[in-house]
Parts: sequence; structure tokens; C-alpha cells
Amino acid sequence: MQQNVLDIHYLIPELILFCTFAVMLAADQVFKRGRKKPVAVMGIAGMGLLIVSLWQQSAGLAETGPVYLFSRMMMVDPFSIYFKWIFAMTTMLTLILAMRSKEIEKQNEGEFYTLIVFVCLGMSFLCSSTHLLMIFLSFEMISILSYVLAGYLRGDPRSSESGIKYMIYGAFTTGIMIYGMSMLYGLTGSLEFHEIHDALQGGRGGLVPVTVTLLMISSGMLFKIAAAPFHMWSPDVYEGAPTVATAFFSVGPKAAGFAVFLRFLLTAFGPDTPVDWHRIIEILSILTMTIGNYTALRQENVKRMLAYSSIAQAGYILMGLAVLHPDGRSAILFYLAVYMIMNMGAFLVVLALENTIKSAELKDYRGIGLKSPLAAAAMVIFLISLTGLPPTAGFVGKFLLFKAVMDQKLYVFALIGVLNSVVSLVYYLRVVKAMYLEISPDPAPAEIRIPFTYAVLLVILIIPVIYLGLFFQPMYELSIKAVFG
Amino acid sequence: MLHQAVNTHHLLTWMTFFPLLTGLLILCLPDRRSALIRWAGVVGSLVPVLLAGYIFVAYQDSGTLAYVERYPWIPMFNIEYYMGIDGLSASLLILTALISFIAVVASWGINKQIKGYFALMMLLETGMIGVFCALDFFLFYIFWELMLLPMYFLIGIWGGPRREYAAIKFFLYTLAGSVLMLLAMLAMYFNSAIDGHHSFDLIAMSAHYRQFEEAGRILGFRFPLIVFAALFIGFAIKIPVWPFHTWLPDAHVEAPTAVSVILAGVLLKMGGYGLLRIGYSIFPQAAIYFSVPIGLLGVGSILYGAFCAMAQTDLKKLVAYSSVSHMGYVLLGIASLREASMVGGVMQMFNHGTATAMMFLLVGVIYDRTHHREINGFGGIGAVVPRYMGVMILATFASMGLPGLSGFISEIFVLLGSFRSDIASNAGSVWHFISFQNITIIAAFGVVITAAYLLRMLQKIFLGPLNPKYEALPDLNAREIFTLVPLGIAVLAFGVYPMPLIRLMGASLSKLAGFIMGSQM
Repeated sequence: MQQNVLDIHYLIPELILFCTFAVMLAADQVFKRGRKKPVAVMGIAGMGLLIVSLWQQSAGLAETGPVYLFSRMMMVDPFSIYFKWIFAMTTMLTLILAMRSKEIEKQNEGEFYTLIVFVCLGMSFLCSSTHLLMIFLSFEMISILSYVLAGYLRGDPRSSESGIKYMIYGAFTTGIMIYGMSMLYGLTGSLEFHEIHDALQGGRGGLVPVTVTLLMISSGMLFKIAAAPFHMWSPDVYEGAPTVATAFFSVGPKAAGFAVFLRFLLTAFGPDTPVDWHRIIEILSILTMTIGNYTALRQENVKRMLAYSSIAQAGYILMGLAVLHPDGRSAILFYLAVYMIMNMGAFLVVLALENTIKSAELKDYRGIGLKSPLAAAAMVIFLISLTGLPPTAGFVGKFLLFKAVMDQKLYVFALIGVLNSVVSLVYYLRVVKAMYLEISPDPAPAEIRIPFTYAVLLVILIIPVIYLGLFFQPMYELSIKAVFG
Repeated sequence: MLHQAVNTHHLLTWMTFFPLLTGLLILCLPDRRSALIRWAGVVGSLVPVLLAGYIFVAYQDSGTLAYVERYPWIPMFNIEYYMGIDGLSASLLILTALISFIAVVASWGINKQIKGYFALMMLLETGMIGVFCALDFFLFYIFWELMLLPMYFLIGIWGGPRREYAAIKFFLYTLAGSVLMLLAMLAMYFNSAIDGHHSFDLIAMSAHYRQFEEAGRILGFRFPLIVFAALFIGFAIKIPVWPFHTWLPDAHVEAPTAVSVILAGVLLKMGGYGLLRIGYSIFPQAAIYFSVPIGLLGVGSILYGAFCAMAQTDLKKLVAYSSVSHMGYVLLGIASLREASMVGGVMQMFNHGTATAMMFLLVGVIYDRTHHREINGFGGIGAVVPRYMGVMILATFASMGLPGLSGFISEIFVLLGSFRSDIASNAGSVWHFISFQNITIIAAFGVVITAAYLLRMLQKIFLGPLNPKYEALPDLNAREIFTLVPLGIAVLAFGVYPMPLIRLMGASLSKLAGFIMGSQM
């Protein structure tokens, strides 16, 4: 018991998050309607503080090594700290995006900022969980708030549809997941990852029941990362939700889903249990990237297209999990950081344009290249990076993933992966084509102004996309450290 | 680690990145200053030409690397910033600088979004020069892919009516080829052990090529064979070899003149160069094993391209298909693995670059004036534009391979070399029932067909009764002459006295041919 109280010391980042949340909640009541920007600024400051405290924690951890908290409910290790960094950045970017979004401004914006921060808290719990109950709790914390965020635009039927759809799918998959968890408990006698692992290694449960249980638990996590066959919700939700929320969903909860999926598979199942789970992941990866890419080809709405693209991206990232070698994991971690930057960048452009042209339809993007040179050029860079062409960070991310796959001699898998990225070029280029190669039928407005904050943010996001495309070693070393501790 | 003399002047780095710097500068210039932007473009591409001129004068191929620059880049994967040239790349590097400069001058008439145009031109030039200088596979790949996006925009924004289709087709075809190259690159990386480490160093991999023979099979095929095949498809799309050529006519027809010039003058050569630098230098046994099918593809390109050209009535499409045909000689020359034919193949790349660039410039000239390219729509204009006709005849005869002009030398080298090649009968080849003699005899018919379609084209455009519409057609102006003269000189000079060209490549190619023949078990 006493140990548990002492463990609080390792929870400082989460406490910071919670305090930020509490302060924002209070501040939301203080500031008048239409003047809620300070609430977001508090959130951004809180994220800054979080990043600093994570830095300190990571330095401290270098001496002690990974630490279990609360009777092995959670774990603080370089892996979770790496993910918390990603979450902090994502949340920070989302708050900045939300501050200038006209969609959000019309609603009670203070609540939006506050909820985003609370989701971040849920995500940081999720990535440190080493216990199935803890997973379930933090999972629900993210999910329920995400449903609210998706349906945030009261009065917009599309947004409400998006919220409801997200909830029904979410409830369904979570139900399967928790059923699977209870079965795993029945089979192994424990909810804690290491004990589950030891039991499975000892041959408890039998191959078929354990595999079925694994699939059931995975369904919830696959839902979070929007991987096939649990990806159907994402296009509708992404299209209907406020663009800021979409940007957040496509990065934050997805990364959190990957964090817990990785930890669950590698710790609870591991490479040495009878279940050949990496084969299953390989098939899911191929399915996910192929479905995502081929469906994206025909989309006429950029938000929807980016939804399918992020399904495909989840497929690529799963490649790193399908190889059992740790190189695959560090490639995933690298890719997720890069993915956060480039996907947030792409959504930032969508958002900036949406504020003015009130549309995310591809046909309304015609001629943007001349009307808004910075936004269009930035979009090209982000999309090229999502395709995986050099000299961008996205290329390096894919390079590392394919490298891990090739190292394991999974040649057909790698071939399917690269051919998929050729397919993805087609739909990414459709946006580029609309912006630059086609002429807008409506010459007015001659110029689309984007808010100064967004312009600055675009430049800030372009720099790492190019820089990491050329000099990626320090960043990759960081992700290796996160995997190996 | 091989120790080479490090060139402290960073000649190749300057040559590669000066255009990029200029491009960034151009982006910072105000839109209205169109003259300034154009002149910036000229300066940006002139500096590489001057440096290339220096290389042309100073460089003497001895089969070793020159102007080497080598620095660690990503140490954990042994990726290096490794630049240098030898006989394989020297002539093509010079060609690239020259053609890029000419293309920039030929772009003077572009009026739409000039800032973007010249900035992309500069980015493209950096990519092209970089490909010919890079000796690290990773670096090579970065430069290789760097060219795709500017090319897409140059065709897609400034091109003809079907530009969107042509641009995406070009992009997709090339990317499909280069992802195969990416996998081949990774496979080579994991199976190389240079001083105990995996490596992307192309030169060291060539020196340690035997270790790839011991590498495990991939999908049941021997490692060198399947990796070579993947590389070959990647490069064959770029060359382009029949049947991978279908993007080329579209891209050429829709691209603006200057971009066609670059496309035919430089981009196609990258395929041939890559094949020599990576495919042939690292997998010599695969080169022997596949010599006959590659030779057959070469002949296929020669004949198919020539027959297609014969059926065209669009002047630009005719020149585009003639490129497919002429690049077939390159492939045939390389495939037959004789010293003479390989020298001929690389020379053919250079000579095709100069002659076809002239042709595309001339097509652009006539299109600017008449706004069409229909061969049957001219008639008798030779009397009105004598200077234009003169230059056109020079370019046409050069690509036809008339003795005394550059095309003749390279084609004869290719044909002579491959006729005497006995590589097909070598042990290990499953193709021993086909000999290179037969292949060469068939290929020689290509020369006749080429003459047929080119002469027919000349006749329809310049001879016969004058089309009254074109009585007042203006002849070449000073800027056009300025772009054509350097190429014309190259065509004439290397036709009469090819030694300076051979001097740039002979030793390296002879070494490569010997290396490949010596690799037989």
C-alpha cells in the first residue's frame, strides 16, 4: 500500500495533465462566450510543461530502468514516454488548430479544448498500461470523449451521425474486446501481461481458444487504429466530425492504439508463445493497406480521402509489427512520429482552406495553387511525404519499415507494400492535380488568405518533414532507445 | 575502406547543388520580375556548364574515380555522401549540364507562372546531375526520386492539352520502377558485407560482387538474377525499353519543348547509366546470364520504335518513337558485353542526347510559329526557312546515322561490337540457340527503317509545292540559333573526330567489359 503512494512520484506527467484539465475546466466557466482563447493557451502551456516533465522523467529513468506502478497495473518506461511525447505534441497542435477553426468557434469552444486535453490523459494511461483492466479503463476514457468530440457540431446532422456511428462501432468492438479479456482471464488466470505470458508459454489454454481470445481482444485495438476489418467507421466519422477533431483522431488515438497493441502483443503474447500472431498481423497489414488505398482512389472529398489514406497508413505501420525483430518496432515508433507531423500538416491545410472556401470537396480545390501558394505547396510536401517519396520524412519512415521487412526476408510482403505505395500516389496526386493542374471555374476569390497562426504552423511542420527526410539518425536513435529501454 | 584522393574543391557538389540554390533564390524573387527570374535560371544552369567544360578539358578517363567527395551521412546504416565520376558518368554528366542550360534558354518563351517553372527546372537539374555523380545507392535513389515531382509539374502545368494524363502516367510508371529498385537496394544492403558492415557503397559492392552469389535465394531464384531483374525493370522503364515504353510518347507529346529536350536528352540516359553503374557493375554474372534477352529487348525497341515512328503523322510523336528506337541501340550495345559495343552504347546515349535534343528544339520552333505539328500540314517550307531546314537536316541525318555525323560512330560501334559478341554461346546461358550475330543482323534493319521515316518526314515538310499558308514563315531567330549551335557542333565534331568522347569513357568501359567477362565461373 505504501509503495503505491510512493509511486505517485512517477505519475507527475499525468498529474500535470490532470491539473491542466482541471484549470481549463474552471477557466472555461470564468471566460465569457467568444473569448475562450485563453483556455486553449492554458492547455498549450500545460502541454509544454508536460513535455518538459517527460524529459526529466526520461532522464531519471535512465538510471533506474523501467518501473512498474500500482502493483503492476502500469509501467513507466522509455516506450511509454516516447508515446507521451507524441500525444503531447498532437494535443498541442490540435489546440492551436482549434483556436483558429471557425467550426469550433461557433460552438462552446472551451469545452472542446478541455476535452482534447482529457483524451490526452486517457492516451497516456493507455500507453503505459500493463494490465487488461487498466487497458479497458483508459480505452473507454479515450473512446467516450472521442464520441463527444466527433459529434461536437450540434445542429450539424453529419457531425451527429459521425458521433453516433463512432459510438456504435466503438461500443461493439469494445464489447468484443472485454469479452475476450474475460476469456483470457479464464484461460490464464491473470489480467497482468507478464503472468499471462508465463501462463501461455506454459501451454495453458490450448492453441485454438487462445487464438480466438487474441482475435477478440485485438478487435478493440484494431478499431482504435482503424485497421481492417474494423476500419469502416473511420471515413464517415472523419468526414462528419469537425476537421480539428478529425486531425486529432487520425493521429492521437491511432498512436495510442498502436502503443497498447504493441505492448499487449509483445509482452502478453511475445514471440515465444504457441500462437503465431505475427502471421495474423501480416495478413491484416496487407488487407488494411490494400483496402485503404484502393478505396481512397475514388474519393471526392479530401477529408474522406485522408481517412482512407490513414487506414492505408495503419497498414504500413502494422508491417513493423508483423516482423518480430525489434527493428520493426523502432521503425513503427519512428513512423508514428513522422506520421503525426505529416498528417497533422495535411489536415491543417484542409482546415485552413475550409475556413475560407467552406468545403473539403476535391472539386473546390481547383486552382488553389495560385490562390494560396503556401497552403498548396505545403500540401504537396505533406502528401509526397505520405506517399513516401524522398527527400521527405515519410520516405525515411517507409524505408525503415521496408528495411525491417526485407531484413526478415519477407519479400512478397515487402513487394505488396511498395506496390501499395505506388497506388497511393494516384489519389494523393489527385489533390495535387486539382490544386495545380486544374483551373478554378470560379475566379473569385483571387486569393485565399489563411490565418497567420496557420501559416506559421505550416512552415514549422514543413521543416521537420524535410529535415528528417535527410538527417534521420538522431530521431531514429531515439525510437530505438524507446524500444530497447 | 578504399582511400581515394579527396577533391577539396567540391566540384561535383557545386555542380549538383548550385542549381538548387538558384532555384531557392528564384522562389524568393517577386513574381513581376520575369526577366530577372529568367536570367537567374540562366546563371543557375550556366555554372554547371562551365564546370562541365572544365571536366571535359581536364578529365582523362583512366578507369578510376575522379573528383571524389566522401563524407559520412547516416553512419548507423553506413550511408555516405559519396560523389565521384568515372568513365561511365563523365560524358553523361557533361551532357546533362549542357542540355539543362539549353533547355533553360529554350524556355524563354514561357509566360505562365515563370517563377514556379524556373524553380522546378533548377530542382530537376539538381536531381539529374546528382544521379550521375552519386556513388552511394541511397544517395543515388534520393536524387533519382527527386526528379519525379518537378517533372510531373513541368509536364502537368506547362504541357499540352492532355498534360494531366501524360504527367501522371509518367509519374506512375517511373515510381513503379523505382520501388522495385528500392527493394533491390535493400536486398543488396542486407547481403553485402564490406569490412564487416552492410553498405550502400556501389563501388565497394562491385568489388565484392562475389558475396551476392552466396546470398540466399529469393522466391526460389538465385539472388543476383532476381535482384538484377528487379533493377533492370526499374531502369528499363526509364530508358524506355519496349514493352515498358508507353509512357514516353504521351509524356513527350504533352511536355513543353524545353521539358521534352530534357526528357529525351537526359532522363532517358539515366536508365542506361543506372543499368551500367548498378546492374552490370555489381551483378556481372546476371549480365551474362541475361545478355540474350536484354539484347532481344534492345532489338525489339529498335524495330518497334522505328515502325511506330513510321506510322506517326505528329512530328513530336515521331521523334518520341525514334527515341525508343535509338535507345534500343544503347541496350543492344550494353547487352553484348564487348568493349566496342559498350563504348558505342554509352556514346549512343551522348549522341542521341544531342541529336534528339536538337530535333525537339526544332519541333518546338515550328510549333511556336504554326501551332501544329502535323507532318502532312506543312509542305515545301524549305524554300521559306532555309536555315531551319539546314539545321533540321543536320539533326535528322545525325540520328539516321549518316557517316561523318555523331550517330554513325556510335551505331557502328554498337553493331560492330555486338556482331562479334560470342557471349550468347557461353556456358550457363539457356539462350545458346540464339547468337548475337543474328540479333545484330536484325538490328541493322532498324537503320533502314529509320532512314525511311526520317527522309519521308523531311520530304513532306520541306520539299514539294509550298503550302501557301506558310509563305511568310519566319526563319530561326538568334536565341533559337544560340540553343542549336552547341548541339550542332557536338553532332558534327564527334562525328568527324570522336576521340575526345571516347577518351572520357574508354578506359572505364573497357575495364567493365573485362570485369564482366572475367566474372565467369
